[in-house]
Amino acid sequence: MRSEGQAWAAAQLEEMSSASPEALDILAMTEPAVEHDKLIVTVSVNCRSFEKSDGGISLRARERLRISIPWNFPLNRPEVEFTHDRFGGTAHVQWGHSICLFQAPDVEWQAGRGMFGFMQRVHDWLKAAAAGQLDPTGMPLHPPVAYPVANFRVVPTRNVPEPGEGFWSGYVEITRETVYVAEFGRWIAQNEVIPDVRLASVILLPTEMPFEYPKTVLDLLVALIDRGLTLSMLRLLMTITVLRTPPGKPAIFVLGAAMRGIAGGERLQHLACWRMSVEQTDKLRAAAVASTEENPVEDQAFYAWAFESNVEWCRVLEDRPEIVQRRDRESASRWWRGKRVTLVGCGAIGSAVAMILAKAGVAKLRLIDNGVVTPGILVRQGFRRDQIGYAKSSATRIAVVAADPGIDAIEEYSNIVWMLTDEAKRAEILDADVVIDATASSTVAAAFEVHFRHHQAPRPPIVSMVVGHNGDMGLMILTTDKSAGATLDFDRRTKLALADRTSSAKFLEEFWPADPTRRAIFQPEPGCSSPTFRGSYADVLSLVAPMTNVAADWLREGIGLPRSFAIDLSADSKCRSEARASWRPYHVLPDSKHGYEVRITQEAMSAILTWTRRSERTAGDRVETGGALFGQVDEFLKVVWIDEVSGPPPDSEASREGFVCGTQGVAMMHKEKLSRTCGSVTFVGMWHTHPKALPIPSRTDLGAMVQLLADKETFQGRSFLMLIVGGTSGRPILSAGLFLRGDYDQA
Amino acid sequence: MAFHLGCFRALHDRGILDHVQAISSVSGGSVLAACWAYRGEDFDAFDKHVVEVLRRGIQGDIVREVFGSLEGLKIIATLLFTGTLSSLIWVLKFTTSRLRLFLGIPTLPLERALQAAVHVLPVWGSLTTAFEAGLSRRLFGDTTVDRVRRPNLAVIINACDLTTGTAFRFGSGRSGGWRFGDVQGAAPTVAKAVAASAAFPILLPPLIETFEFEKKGERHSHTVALTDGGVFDNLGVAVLEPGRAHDHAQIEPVTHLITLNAGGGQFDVSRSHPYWWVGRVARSFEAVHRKAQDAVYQRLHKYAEVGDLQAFGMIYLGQQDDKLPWAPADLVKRAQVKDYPTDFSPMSEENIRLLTSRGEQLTHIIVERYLSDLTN
Repeated sequence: MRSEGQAWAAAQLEEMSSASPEALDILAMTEPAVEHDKLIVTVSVNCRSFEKSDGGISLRARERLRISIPWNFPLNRPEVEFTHDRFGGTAHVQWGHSICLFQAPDVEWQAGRGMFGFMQRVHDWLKAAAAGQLDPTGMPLHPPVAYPVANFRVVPTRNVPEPGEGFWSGYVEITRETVYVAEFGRWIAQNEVIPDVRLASVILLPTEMPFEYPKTVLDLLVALIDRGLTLSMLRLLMTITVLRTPPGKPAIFVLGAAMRGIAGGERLQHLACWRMSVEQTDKLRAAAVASTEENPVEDQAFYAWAFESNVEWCRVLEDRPEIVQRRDRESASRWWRGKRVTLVGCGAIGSAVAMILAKAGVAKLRLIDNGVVTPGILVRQGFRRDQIGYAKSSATRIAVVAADPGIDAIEEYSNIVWMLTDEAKRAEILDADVVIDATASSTVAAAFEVHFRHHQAPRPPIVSMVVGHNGDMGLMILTTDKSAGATLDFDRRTKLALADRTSSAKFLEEFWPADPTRRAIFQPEPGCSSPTFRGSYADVLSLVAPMTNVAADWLREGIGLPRSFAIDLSADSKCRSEARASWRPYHVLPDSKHGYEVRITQEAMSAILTWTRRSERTAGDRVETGGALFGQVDEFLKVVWIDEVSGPPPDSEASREGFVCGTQGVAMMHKEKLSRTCGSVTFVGMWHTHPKALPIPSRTDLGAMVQLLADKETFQGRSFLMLIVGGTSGRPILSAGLFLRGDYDQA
Repeated sequence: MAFHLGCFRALHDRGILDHVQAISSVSGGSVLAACWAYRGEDFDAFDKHVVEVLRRGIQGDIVREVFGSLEGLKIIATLLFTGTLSSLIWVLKFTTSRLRLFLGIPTLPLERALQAAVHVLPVWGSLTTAFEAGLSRRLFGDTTVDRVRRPNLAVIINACDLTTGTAFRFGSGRSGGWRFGDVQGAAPTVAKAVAASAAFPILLPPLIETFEFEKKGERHSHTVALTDGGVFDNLGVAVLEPGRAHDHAQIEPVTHLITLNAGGGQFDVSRSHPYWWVGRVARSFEAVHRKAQDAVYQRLHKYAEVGDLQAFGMIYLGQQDDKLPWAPADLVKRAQVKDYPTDFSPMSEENIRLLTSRGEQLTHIIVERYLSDLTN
């Protein structure tokens, strides 16, 4: 009743055997008795040609192997075993005879090669086993085998103590426990104060155990005594453990042996774990409590158990850093590990970011939001239906702690704008390696901006993220403590950078629409909700993940420049589209008149020096020059940005005595910049030089301001920035003064 | 050249010129590029010197070499000897080929022998060698192309080898082309490189030179016929394009690229139909040339768009004024300068002013908008 696959396997084996009967001889084939049964083939393999070494297993000239071919071969791989138990206890031989042929069967087993591939693997295994090369130097050792019989798993999470010359005995704290799993916390040496918590007993050996661990308690005790432990000590450990095990729970024991690591390298502890059944634990506990010198019922109970019981080995799910290599260690996300992050906003973006950071191993996460989970947001935010009504910060914290209980997650149901006005709260918010603003709120950005405008103290980098109105475009901005200005400032500069690139028009239109009324507002609950973006949970994740990764990369690089990253996943994009920008620091000047901060971009500064240099080259280094300044004045933040600069208009008059800035073409330049930057760059004032002199406004300069600002017919602006460049183009000295119309109105 | 000088002025004022790491030139631009790279003056002296060259022109130098030096005799000797023999060989070849065609006489081996004979006829002198001698006497002396006098500047002067139809590059690192390999022995002179690069084929004959080349470890001697590099690559950017760092000049990968082009740009609608041979061929040549140039520009813009170049600035005399990002009130209009010929004749002060001003203005506009991160 062979299946088609088994027939194919048998045919392949017969073909190999007939081609070389000396190498492979088929001794017997036991047909499957029923459907879905295995086809058993016994073969004799020639092992004469395999080179033998001291560390290798002693193969005979011919070895008999039993191959079990499953009915669904080759989708399921065959198994092979020796027909004897001579190699029991040898690494890579399990159950005394079964050959451990594959380390990663899903990857290594190639169904298409059938029995040809399988027998090649058997040949290679036998050859390596004879030569003692099954654990080649530099490769991971095959760990010993403790066949799990209990449907129970343990998770060690911390590195184990060094056993030293003899052995280490003590306890491990059980921090979390369910019916199926127990998680271990810190290791407690026997000579330490034993805390009043649930414990498991631990013995760590500096030596090896047999490759196959003992099946009975008696054999296990003998093996441990052989390795230098005393029976009284083992009993003491077990007694304390059962006493520290609450009724109805199994006692747990951990056994470590130096059998992990890389062949030829340092040996680490391989942990095995076994448990005592609940009944037996209760019995031993009762005996321990009742035992007296006259009536040592504990001894009787212990020996009765030890002589009769098998060891209930449990599966160990390793989470020790010394054993488990993090799968994200090459990923951008690795930067977040161990970091302290303040996350402002726990909505669509924030809740997704929080989970990414939790998975990455963030150490501390302060979650701030003043919203609650509502039914409508479940389709795109990482909350559960049973969390409706929870504060978003609270629901996010629950998810974060569930992902990793080790994270110090703090929730704050509060308004960030208000918090920033409170010194203590502000200090808490900024006590982080990074602040992530996921509110997509211009008010929050303004609150940060105004705070940093007036508090220059060191601050963490700030990452802000927003998502486009259809949930298919994202924008992330990173500012650092070296930046004059925070998110609001660099949001503006991102806009200007994108305005200069024809390929980025889509981003410009999405995040800074020239005419917002053209876009239909999406109010999920008309009349009762704020306008928001459309999009699914998948949309949000697909944008938040790359933005978080790019931020991590930038933070890891440690370059202090502010940067932005825009991503477009819209359906009409032929491929993923990105735009990145970074900015050199501003040249910052204080305004001498009203306490404004004048932020001059490097490009604008360079343009000023260019025109100064040109004047020096063409007219000599004593003749003044100047031109127009373009940027923006923010009266709330008290900031003047200078983004672009012109040279002297053609109708200017330049001499050693002074510079009269012309106006020819200035209006046109103003119009062009206004249009190109969607209103972000306009005429803000003028600059001129005081060659080889100090940049102090002259009477002529001040007189011109009076004339300009007192007369609304000549100039209609509310303010005028006068920038004076003293010295030379090689060594410029700058001063700035913002003249407000109000000053002259009052006068 | 005057347009390029204006561009150089703006690049100098913006603090970019001294940081340029590679300069690749063709045609008339090679004169200015070589002046900058090999004369080593400060910018003011360089500017004055170039303006003086523009005022005097180079045509006069060629005439002086022809009539005031041995170059003239060499040219006459070449015309008499090589010219006469070439004509005779051509007549013979034509006659034998007719005999073969009409009478079936097997003259093919003879025709091939005659063809081969043309190639070995000597060229002692030509207007291009006079041009080279003028450049040597007036501007570059015996300086060789490997003697760049600006720190960290690689120079590539592009010519076109008419024997192979491929680029021939005189580089500060190495010279030659991919067909024959690298020129061995003493580096060629700057005057020769510039003369070859600027030998506009309509006006000047190719420069016939024999070099020893090395390719894949083997040495061979080859004669090349070098003409204006613009025939092959009108912008001289092929060697600077992304992915071409392995190319002949061995320069570092380029991050920012600025092209300076003194071409007049779009055709004006022809007043008369280009019907007759000269008119139609000239117009066709210009059309092909312009289309090829457009393709290169398109490619360079694409490189900048996809990030292969961090930035690309196209500074083009023939740029339509209304297509500029913005224009200063005193912009020198395209119409004012687009038809000025690039024939090295003496220039008036006004023409120098117009051309240099437009170069300077366009450079400021383009650098400010597209290459602002270069400024410091």
